[in-house]
Formats: sequence, C-alpha cells, structure tokens
Amino acid sequence: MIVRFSIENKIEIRLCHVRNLIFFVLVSLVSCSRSENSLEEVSLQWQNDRATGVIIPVSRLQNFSTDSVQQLLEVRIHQSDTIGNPIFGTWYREDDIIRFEPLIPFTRGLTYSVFYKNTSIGKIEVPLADQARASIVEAVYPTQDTVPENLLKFYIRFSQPMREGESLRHVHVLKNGKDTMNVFLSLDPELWNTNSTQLTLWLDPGRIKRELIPNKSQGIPIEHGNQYTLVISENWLDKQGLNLKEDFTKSFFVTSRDSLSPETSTWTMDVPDERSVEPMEISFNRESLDYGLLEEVLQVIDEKKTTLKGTWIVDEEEKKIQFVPNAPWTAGSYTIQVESILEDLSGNNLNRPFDRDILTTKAKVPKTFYELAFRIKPSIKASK
Amino acid sequence: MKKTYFVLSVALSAVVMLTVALRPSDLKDGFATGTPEIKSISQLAFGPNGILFIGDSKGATIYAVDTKDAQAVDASSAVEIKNIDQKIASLLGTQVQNIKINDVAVNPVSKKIYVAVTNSDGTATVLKVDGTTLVPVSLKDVSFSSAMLSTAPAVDAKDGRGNSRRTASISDMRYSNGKVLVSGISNKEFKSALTSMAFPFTSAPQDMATLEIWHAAHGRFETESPIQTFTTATIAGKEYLIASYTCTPLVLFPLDELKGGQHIMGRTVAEMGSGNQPLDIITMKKGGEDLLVMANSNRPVFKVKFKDIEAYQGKLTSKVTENYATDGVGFVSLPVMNVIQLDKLDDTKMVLVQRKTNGDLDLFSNDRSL
Repeated sequence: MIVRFSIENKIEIRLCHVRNLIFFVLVSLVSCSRSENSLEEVSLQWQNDRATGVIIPVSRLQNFSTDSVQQLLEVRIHQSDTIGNPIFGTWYREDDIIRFEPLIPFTRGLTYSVFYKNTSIGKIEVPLADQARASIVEAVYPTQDTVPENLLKFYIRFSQPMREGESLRHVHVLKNGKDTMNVFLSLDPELWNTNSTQLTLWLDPGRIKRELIPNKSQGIPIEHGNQYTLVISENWLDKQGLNLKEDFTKSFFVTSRDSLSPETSTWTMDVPDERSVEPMEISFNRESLDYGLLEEVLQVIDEKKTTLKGTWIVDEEEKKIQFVPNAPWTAGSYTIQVESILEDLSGNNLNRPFDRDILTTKAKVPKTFYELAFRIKPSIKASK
Repeated sequence: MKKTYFVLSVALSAVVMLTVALRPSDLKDGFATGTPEIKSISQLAFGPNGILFIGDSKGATIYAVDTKDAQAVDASSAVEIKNIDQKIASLLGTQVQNIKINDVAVNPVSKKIYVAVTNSDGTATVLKVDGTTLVPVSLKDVSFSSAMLSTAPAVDAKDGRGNSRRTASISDMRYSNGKVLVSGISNKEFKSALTSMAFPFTSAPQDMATLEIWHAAHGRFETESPIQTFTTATIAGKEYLIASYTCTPLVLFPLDELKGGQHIMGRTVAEMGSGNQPLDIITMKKGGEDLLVMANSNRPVFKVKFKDIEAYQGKLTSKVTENYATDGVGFVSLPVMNVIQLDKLDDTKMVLVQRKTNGDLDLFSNDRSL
C-alpha cells in the first residue's frame, strides 16, 4: 500500500496543480477508491523497468497472521503441467499488504503464481519488453576498414545494456563467407564497461604472439592480404530480453604486422587562437590508435599546472583527437600529458611493443607520461 | 643471566604477538554490519574463519563477508547435485538460459560449497550447497568490510558519453597468508597486474606488481599478458605464485618478490596447448605427492606433479630448448572433460561443475580421478 499510494498520489497531485483544489479532492477520492479496488488483486512492483516484487493485499488471505508469512505464502513459476518450487526471496509486511521481493527480478515473459496455504490466490504475468526499444550496434572500433594482422582488439558499442557472458556465440569473423573459428579469446568474465554497453573483444593473444605454440600451430587470427567480415548476430539479447534490432556487419582488409610503438615525436598539433573555444587537434601521424584508451589518457595542463576542463573527441578513424575546452583559450604555454599506456591497434604502447624481440629491438626506458608542448599566442588585438 | 631473561622475554613477546595476530576476532577488524553494495560477483574465495571474499569487477571492489559458517568439520562429505543450473534457475524463478554460474568456492573450515550466480539482467547472488539442495546466502545486514582496487580510476571518472571508466575485470582472487591476491584484466590496455591487499583491509597502499613473462620458445621474446587464473604453493620450500595466462603459458613467480611497483619476470614452465583457456588451478595431494590440477576451456583437466616443476629450476633468462613444447614440465590429462568450475574440497577431493556429454551440468565431488 505504501508503494502504490506514493506513485498514484504523485500523478494526481500534478493534475491538481493545473486544475483546482475541489477537483483535486474529488480526483483524490476517486484515486483512493481505485487503489482500494486494485489492492484486491496481486500486482507487480517495478523498479527501473525490472519487476522486483509482488504485492499481495492482506485482504486476500483468510485467517492470516504475520508470524506465518514465510510458512504459508509462496511464489512459484506458473506451469500448467507441474507445480514449481517456491522461489527464493524476502517477505515484508507493510500495513495491509505483503510484499515479496525475489532474490533476482522476475523474468519477462514468465507467469508466476502466489500460493497461500498451498492454494493459488493470484497469477501475475510479467510482460515482455517493448520491441521498439531493442538495442542496436552503435559503433565498432577500430572504425577504419584496414587493420594490421596483429590487431589486438575490437570494441563494440551498443545503445542499451546487453547480456554478458555470451558474446562469442553472437560475434564471428568470416573469411570468404566461412567462420574463421577461435579468432577471439574466450574470457570469463568478459570485458564490459560498467553499464554493459561496450564490450572489448581480444583477438587471441596466444596466436598473435610470435613463437608461442598457439601462434605456431594455428597461425595468426587474421592474415595479411585477406578480406574479412565481422558479424554481430541479431540473436543477441539485451538485459531486457530483447533481440538486437538487426544483424550488424563490418568488412575489413588486413595489412602487415605492426611491431612498433607509437612515437609521440611524430604527432602534429593544430593550435587554436586565443579567446576562442575552438578545438586543439592532435594528429597521430596517420596512425589509428586504440579508441578505448584515447578516451582517457590525455590531459591538457596550463602554466599553473592546472588540468584544463573540457571534452576529448576521438576523430578521423582514431587518427586524430580534439580537445574542446570548457572556457576560452588564454595565451600561454600548455603541456599535453599522454599516459604511456596508450596503445596502437596492435597493443604496442608508448613504452614497449606488444612482444619485444630482444635480439633486434632495444628496450626503451619506461616512462609514466609522454609530453607535448604547445603555445597559444596573444591575438593581435589583445597585444595592442 | 640478564641475557637469558632478555631472550626469554623476547621469545614470550613473540609468542604473545603471534597469538594475538592469529586471534580470529582480529580478522574482523574494520568489519561493520550493513548491506554491501555489490554490483557484480566475478570471483569467490575463502579466507580463515568462514570469511568469504567476493570479487566485484563492476565495482572494482573486494568484499570480505563474515558468513558465520565457521564450524569446523573433520572430513568433507561427498556431494552431488545433478542439473545444478536447472535447479538454480528454478529456485531463482527463472529459466536456465538466464543464469550463469560465475564461480564455486569451498569454505575450508566447514567444507561447504558456495556458488556465485548472475542473472541475465546482471543481478548477482550467492548460494550455498546444503546436502542435495541449495540455500541463499544473505548479503543483507551482514558483517563485512571492503577494499577498492587502487588501480581503478575514480568512481566519478566518466568517458565522453558519461559512462564510468572503472572497468578492470577481476580474473582471479586468492587468500594466502594474510593477503588477498587479485589478478586483474583491463578492458582497455593489455597488461599484467597483480594486486596484493593486506587482510584485514587497511587504508595502506596496496602492492601492485606488473608481471612480465618470458616466451617459452627460443627465449627470444619478452612480453606482458594478463593472468587468467592462479594459485599459490610451496615449491622446494619457497612460496610461489603459479599463474596461467591468457596466452596459455604456466608461469612461476616467487611470492616474496611481489611488491608494490615492482616489475617481475616470471619463469615459464609449460605451455598447455592452443585454442585453450585455463579456468581454475588448485593444489591437491595424492599418495604423499603434491599436485597442481587445472581445469581448461578446451582440454581435459590437467595434472602436474610439483616435483616435476621443482626439477625445472633453470635460470630465468636461459634459452629453453627448441622443442620445449614437448620437453617442458610434463602434465597428465585426466579423463575429465568440460569442467567449467573447479575447487578443492579437501586435500584429496575436488569439487567440479562439469558439462556432461548429454548436456547436463552437474556439480559433484571427486576423489578418484587424481
């Protein structure tokens, strides 16, 4: 009753604000009456689009005593042929209702029965989610259609939170229309962002690393000189239980191995004017870098060692990034600090390549940050 | 005489300090009663006195929960729950395709088996095996403490679309000699990281080491790689971390070298084959011999004798033989396939969750396969 009243009264109060007080009283009375009627039925409790409980009016329970809630009441999956077992959950008594919260939310598409003294006193059907709200694949990174043969990862971004733990059933890489098999590393748990909207898939590093047994026995996952298609099946369900709206495909061509660390000294900058809020652009010497890391490893620091607030925008197939400041630029010297963990598409970071051949490549002295400097000149008007 | 008294007093102090250090109540320093805000359950591990560690990847936090399940038993009982996934789904009020068993851990004191389960909407829960059925483990109003993994970005760090950046995934977790060891996999950078947290949790900085491995073949390539699963064991009187990587090698690291900020080279002792991921590693005994037992995604369960690993005490940087793949530490494939969860029930019994050839998923204990 507490739950239901609070929701309905909020709705009615909004109506009253646009009408008048008398009407409010009338509507409230009607509302109370409706509530009393609806409280005769067993109903669902919803939180964030999830059915998190069932509300049972005490009036439905004959000879009811609070002490016997857990002994006499049960919620089971409704099955026509068999009686399921009682579902794990917690019972709460609140005024003239009993609330049951299952250990996990009720499943959309299933029907549940409430039993009192082994007799069903009500059925609740949890509706399927609205198909119009089905998820789509918003983007796949790297976005360019040419990748090195030691490509380490794909990022897949969805419009809604997806079910985790089943990506390899739905994501495939095809060569000449046939599945390449075992291209991706099977990880448990999978690598999702906290919202379950972005998945990182690694191409099997054991096959990419030179001279390891998987590399020698199975070869590299994707081979130089070939065309492949990444396919994401519409059969993948989101957390609401809805299929993706449609299949997603992305074709790409594979070029030679990249075994070199990105060199910040080759990057170029396009510096904006003083007092503008134009972006400051950094170009990575025509090399695409790792989308996921680009989002978080750079910062602009002013002469007072203060980090500027603003937005980073990854652009031009991850070959360029822009920084748009919140406040207009002022004249002076700035430093761009880049964390050394930044990788290219092949897992080579600023400090070390993905796998270093100790016979031919000298190890760099590792650094935490790499720095680039730029200066914003005073505009002519300001200098006068 | 004074010297004798001094020695005696020091010895007595040491005994008192050791006794105090091991007192069960001290293990719960920093515990408070409440409901932990667990966002996900990737890993379970037990410490002493029924303390259950819950690895929360989404929250980048380790929770220590007092299960009050601290009644010691002399011997473990045989366990068998057929179709455990269907039973769990039914008890949770859903269908089998909607749930996933994330981990299985045995309380070494009570020998009770705990199972972490996640629903398709992301809700995670813990169940306990009770005879032939399962009961929920309450995570409401419990005595607990927690520690955030220090490598995680700040809670309010957001990317350009407002998503949280805190996305390190906990690949494995173990309690060993007063420390909780956690291996992590970043969803962005390809790196190796192992965090060691003193327990009871303190605000002191955590030790985080990066672990580099040496490619087995030719001794030519050095590389980092995330740890998929690990255990700890004593080999020839020295404590080691035994880790299996996403690129399949089995690597040893001396535990005393795992210190904050250290970069440590491990010694590869075996490669376990291609197209396979190690899932769990445990230590067992049979006939007085110590064994390492590994469950794999695409291989049978492997058994490795510790005495064979001990025999592989070569220098770290020495070039291994060309045909190392077959000459490395020998391992035996046990006649047990498709094991998705593995833990130690006691020194001679394992508990397994296995997908049978008829498609059933069963949980059972086993003391015959070793």
